[in-house]
Amino acid sequence: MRRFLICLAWFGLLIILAGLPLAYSSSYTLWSTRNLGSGAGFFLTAIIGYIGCLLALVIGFLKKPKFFWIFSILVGLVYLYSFYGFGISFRMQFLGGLIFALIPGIVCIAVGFAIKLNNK
Amino acid sequence: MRKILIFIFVSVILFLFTLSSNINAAGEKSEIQIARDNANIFILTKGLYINSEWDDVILQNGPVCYDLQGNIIGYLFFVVKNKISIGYILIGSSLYHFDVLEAASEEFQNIPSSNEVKAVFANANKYEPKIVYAGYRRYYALYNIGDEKIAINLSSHELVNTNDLITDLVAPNQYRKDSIVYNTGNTTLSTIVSIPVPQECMWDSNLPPEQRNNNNCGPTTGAMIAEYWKYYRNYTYLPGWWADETGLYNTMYCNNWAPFFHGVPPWLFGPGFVNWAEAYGYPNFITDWNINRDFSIITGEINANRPLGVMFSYTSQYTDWHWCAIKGYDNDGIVYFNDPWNYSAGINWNAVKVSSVISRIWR
Repeated sequence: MRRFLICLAWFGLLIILAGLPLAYSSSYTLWSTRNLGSGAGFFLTAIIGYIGCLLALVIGFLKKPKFFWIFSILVGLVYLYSFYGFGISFRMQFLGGLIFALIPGIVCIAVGFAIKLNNK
Repeated sequence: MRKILIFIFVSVILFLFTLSSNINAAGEKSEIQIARDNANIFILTKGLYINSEWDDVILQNGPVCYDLQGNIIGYLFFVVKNKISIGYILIGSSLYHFDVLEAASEEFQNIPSSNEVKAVFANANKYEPKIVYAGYRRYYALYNIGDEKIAINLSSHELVNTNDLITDLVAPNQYRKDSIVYNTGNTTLSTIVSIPVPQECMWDSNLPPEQRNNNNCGPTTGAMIAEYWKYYRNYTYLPGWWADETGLYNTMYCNNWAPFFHGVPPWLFGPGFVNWAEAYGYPNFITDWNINRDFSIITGEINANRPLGVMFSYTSQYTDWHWCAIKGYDNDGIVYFNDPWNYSAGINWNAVKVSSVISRIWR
């Protein structure tokens, strides 16, 4: 059972990674054209991120697989970076959405550090 | 005497060799000739669907385009009218069945001048770049500087790390692999079916500033579709261009989406249009959307005089996450559409269909 849960936690991180191309592609378009006809890519990445984050971190925190903390931090950083497009075209109206979207990445990083500190 | 004989022998050999290569050249067209023929046929048969000014135009050879691996993937031709370039056509090489990969009624992106390049790299190889095509409207000039390769984005003239170059173009072995048509250069005239969807621009100065500067391709696409219904399907109470584009902007975008992210998501494009039309006395419009749709969906809708919305998304060959209005197709698989960026264009559907969202609207 423990092994299954650990696999599930790693799978959660994989899910987060799988959603990232959508946000990177949206960011690329936004960066290169200063325009984005649809923010669906960012939205889908965030939704996928929430699902993966829940799966990975709840189980990861409980079972604390080896090296999980460092991958959790790395995935969190890559996730946050995928929203780089907002850097060139940010308006206050997007603040709520941006925070909503960034939460999975922030949580991944925070939980990664928490697991590391807990292990000491 | 011996020297004379050797001279005659060598001359005869050279003559025969030249003759055979000439016969070969005359018998078989080179790739660029086939591409040019196809470009000419495209101009003659479909040019006016790209832009109404594409009559009496001539083609001028442009650069050869390569992929990131250095394979020739296409030949660029500039569309010239009265000595002014008014557009361009990219014809695929044999790897892409000599298909029209791009046709756009805008001037081709400037290749940096020698002085511009000199200013950045003193030792670039004679400043003659290879042009890399990485998907619709994404061209790069690739320079060899010593052992290094440097790329310049032709639309922004920014330096790009060659490791960061990603192509949106489908690989040759994936391209049209489900198609039984293989064009060997003996092109046949194709049938075009097109409906006169008005072309509008998302930057139109008649639109409120916060709207035209704000990811406005979805509502503008909706407005182009609405105009068609108004003028050609007699839905006369629908407002004309810009009169109530704001209404579409509100139903498709602001009321539902803006608090979160940019633009119009596929699940609000059609419903936004439906709600907007209902407010003008036309209830019962129906809509649906999906990705990876069959070409027959497009042909069916156009044959029934109904323009469609298309959102090119991740991995598409066109601009990602961008809405356009589909107005026609031909039996080569080219889809014609109005891009609210302010021009009409055509693109091979097989190259973009997998992740593109097609939104139908009917009544």
